[in-house]
Amino acid sequence: MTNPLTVSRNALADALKPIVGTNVYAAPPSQIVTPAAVLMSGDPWAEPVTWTKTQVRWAVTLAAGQIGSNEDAYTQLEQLVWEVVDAVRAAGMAVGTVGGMRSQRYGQAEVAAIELEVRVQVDD
Amino acid sequence: MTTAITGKLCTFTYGAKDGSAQITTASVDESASSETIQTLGGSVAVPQGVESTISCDFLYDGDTAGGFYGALKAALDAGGSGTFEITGGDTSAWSGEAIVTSLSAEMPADGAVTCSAELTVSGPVGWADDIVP
Repeated sequence: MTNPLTVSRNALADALKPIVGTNVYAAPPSQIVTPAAVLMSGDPWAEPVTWTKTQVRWAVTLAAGQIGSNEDAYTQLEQLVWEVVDAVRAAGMAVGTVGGMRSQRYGQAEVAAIELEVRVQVDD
Repeated sequence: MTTAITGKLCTFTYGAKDGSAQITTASVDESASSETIQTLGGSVAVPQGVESTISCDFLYDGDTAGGFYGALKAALDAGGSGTFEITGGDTSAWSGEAIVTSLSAEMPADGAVTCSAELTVSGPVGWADDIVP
C-alpha cells in the first residue's frame, strides 16, 4: 500500500536530484558524499491542516562539499540553498524555515550543513 | 459513549461552492435572547428570537469560478443570500440560508493564504441527525 508520507518523500528527493545530483539521500545514510541532501522527518511529522488534508514536514539537511575554506563552504551552501528553494517551490511544495549553518559529522567526515524545512500538503 | 464525527464537509452555494478540502474550522452558533418580566405569579421568560451565525476558517483556494472563496465573495459583493450546508460524516447536517457579513484573506510571509468568513443565517438553522446512541 502506498502512503502519502513515502510518496511525498520520494517526490521531494526527485525534485532535489537535478540540483544536488546523485547525492540525494531519501533516508539518513551512515556515510555521505558531498555536496549532499539528506531527507529526515520533520517535527511534527504530520498534522491536520484542513478537514481533508494533512501537512507533512520534511527536514532537508544540505551539506557543502569538503573543500578548502569556510568562505568556500558559505558560498557553496548559499548557492545550493537558493537553488533548492526554487526547485522545491517548483515541485508544488512550500519552504519553511532555513536553519543556520553548523558543523555536522557524518561518519568520518565533518561538513558544513544547514537544515531546511519543507512542507507538503497531502490528501487524507 | 462518545461518538466522534469524521468526514466533515462544508458547502456554500451562490453560483458555486464546495469548500471541504480547504476548511480548517467551521462553527455554527445559535443564540436565543429572552426578556424576563414579572407577573403576579412570578417571573416569566419571554423569548425574543434566535440569532444564528456561521463562521468558517479556510485556506484560500484562488478559484473564483468554482471555489469556496469565489462563492462567498460573489454573495458578499451582490449582497445576496446563499445556501449553506455543513455535514459531519453521513449522519449529521446543519443547513440554511445566509448572507455573508464578513470575508477576509490573510497573506503571511511564512505560510499559506488563509481566509475567514462570517455568515448570518436567515430563519432557523436546519438540523438533521440520524445517530443512534
